[in-house]
Amino acid sequence: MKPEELIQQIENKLLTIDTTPSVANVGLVQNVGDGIVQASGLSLSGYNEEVEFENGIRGLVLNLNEDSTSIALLSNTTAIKEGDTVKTTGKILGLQVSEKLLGRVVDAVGSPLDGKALKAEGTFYPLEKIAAGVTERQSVDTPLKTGIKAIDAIVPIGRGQRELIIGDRNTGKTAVAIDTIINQKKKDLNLRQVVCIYCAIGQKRSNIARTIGVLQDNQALDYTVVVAASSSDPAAMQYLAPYTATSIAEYFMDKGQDVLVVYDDLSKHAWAYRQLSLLLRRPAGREAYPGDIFYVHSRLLERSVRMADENGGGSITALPIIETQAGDVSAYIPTNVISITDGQIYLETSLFNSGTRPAINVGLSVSRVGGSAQTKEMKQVAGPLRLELAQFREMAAFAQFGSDLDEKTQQQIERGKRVIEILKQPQYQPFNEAFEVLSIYAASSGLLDEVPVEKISEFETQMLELVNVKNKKLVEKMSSGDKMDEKTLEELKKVITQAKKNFM
Amino acid sequence: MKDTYISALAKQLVEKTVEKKIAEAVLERLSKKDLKRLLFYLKKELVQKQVYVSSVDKLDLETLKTLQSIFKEKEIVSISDPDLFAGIRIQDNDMIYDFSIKDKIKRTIHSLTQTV
Repeated sequence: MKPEELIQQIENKLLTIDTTPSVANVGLVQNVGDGIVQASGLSLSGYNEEVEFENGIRGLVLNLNEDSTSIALLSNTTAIKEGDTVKTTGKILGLQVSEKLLGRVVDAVGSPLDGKALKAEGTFYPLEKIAAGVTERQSVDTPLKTGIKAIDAIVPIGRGQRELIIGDRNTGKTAVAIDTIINQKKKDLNLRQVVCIYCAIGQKRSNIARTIGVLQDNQALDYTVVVAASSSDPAAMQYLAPYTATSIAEYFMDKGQDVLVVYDDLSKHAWAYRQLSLLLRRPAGREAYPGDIFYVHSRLLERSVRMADENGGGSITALPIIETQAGDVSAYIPTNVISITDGQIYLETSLFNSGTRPAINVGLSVSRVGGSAQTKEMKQVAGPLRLELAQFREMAAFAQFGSDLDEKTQQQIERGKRVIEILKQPQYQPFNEAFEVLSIYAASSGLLDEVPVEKISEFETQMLELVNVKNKKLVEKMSSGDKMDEKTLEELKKVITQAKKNFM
Repeated sequence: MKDTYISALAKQLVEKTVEKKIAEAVLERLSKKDLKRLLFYLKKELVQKQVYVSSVDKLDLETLKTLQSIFKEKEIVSISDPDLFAGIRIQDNDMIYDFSIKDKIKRTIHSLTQTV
């Protein structure tokens, strides 16, 4: 077919107007309040169906009663009054997804929030989708590098894993997630580029704007989609936002790509769903949450998978965030999400205040499947690191006795301090694999025992600079992820000793 | 009064099986809140028994006959609506079948805005 003919055909198709009579199932608004509409009629409406009011406002059917239907409004509006008509659309809620969403900020129904026009014109993805079956998946075996030493060494995350970030307010939960997104800029270990989705739920608009600013400044927005439902958006939008983020992620996963989704945060998502449920007069359970609050989160996080190669081999890695109140991890929502996920990164206020940043409590943080996704060289250095940290935790209580302790114990405490110090890392400065391994090896092998604790960070910077300039071959060798042989280890020791000499 | 009783009362009132005196006596005893609910159920019952057909001019006999044969056991209520421009609009309970020019224009505008 000639291009002219094709153009003509497309134009004709676009200009054809449907002249068949319209059939609509309608209802009348009985009452409106707190973003919930009760409507009579709508006998053909389905659960989770999208409905439309006469002035174009959209709603979502959430309850089907004997005489009425409960609809959650998808926008903040005062334009609906008793007696207005509402009609079914026959559509379930979903959005058009395409590559055009990359670098954009959208709301829970896919409308742009960044002031620019958006015509996604892609594939329709429903917000709710049943997670991939057991046979369609494969186990997690590829690392998703966060660029944070403590996480990559002790609680490694694999592609397709769900790792919870949990902690009180102001402990750096979002910072960990943002660092991970920024780290996806470099294709470390020759792995595939990761598409990132940042889903902000119930946050202040100023916070969301700041996060977007950080992503922009670090050139991370080019491969990121931001889905935002701020605290001033309707509860229904806050409830839907993570499902939207997952639908967008599924589009990229179906294309065989690896995706990282950050849900910031699911505590506020649970609050939004609790609000909706109470207004819908559903029975309240523990802490007034509805009975299906566990299912709401489990069906969301179950959609994070690593697909088998015959199904495209894509993956969705989920980093849900939960905010605890006064460090109480045994509250309802934290325990629910802990049991759903494949591990958790526990951030502590006391560590944060004492200057350990990221404030990860390495004792309480776990990764249930990430170990198999760790590279051989990382495993090689992470083993001794874990041992050193465990011994340090045992001995830390005796540290105050100082010189009364025997030499071996003192040495263990001193080394532990250095290990803790080396795991500290400034924000927005993710490390690559080679530098992570180098730093961890330097601390856990005892080569830094002579360097004063307060100067560890300074020494680390100098050492990495030296290696980067003078030992490029070594860095390249270590960037492969293969197990380090004796020769490489010797070389490493030599480099660290040289850096130490220069520093001292 | 319970919702089920009010809905049953509305059904009885519409089916005309209740004597006028009894109906009036019951209505006197109902509170304002119950009366409001009764009104809602009465309207609902009526809507189920009637089909509303809107058109610009009065419906001719043949159209009425055709409609009656489609909606058997239902009363056809004709409504005059000049806003439709031409054509008819049928409302059967909560279903609306729109054959009017007004709806076509509305959908044409929607289709064009979507294309452009």
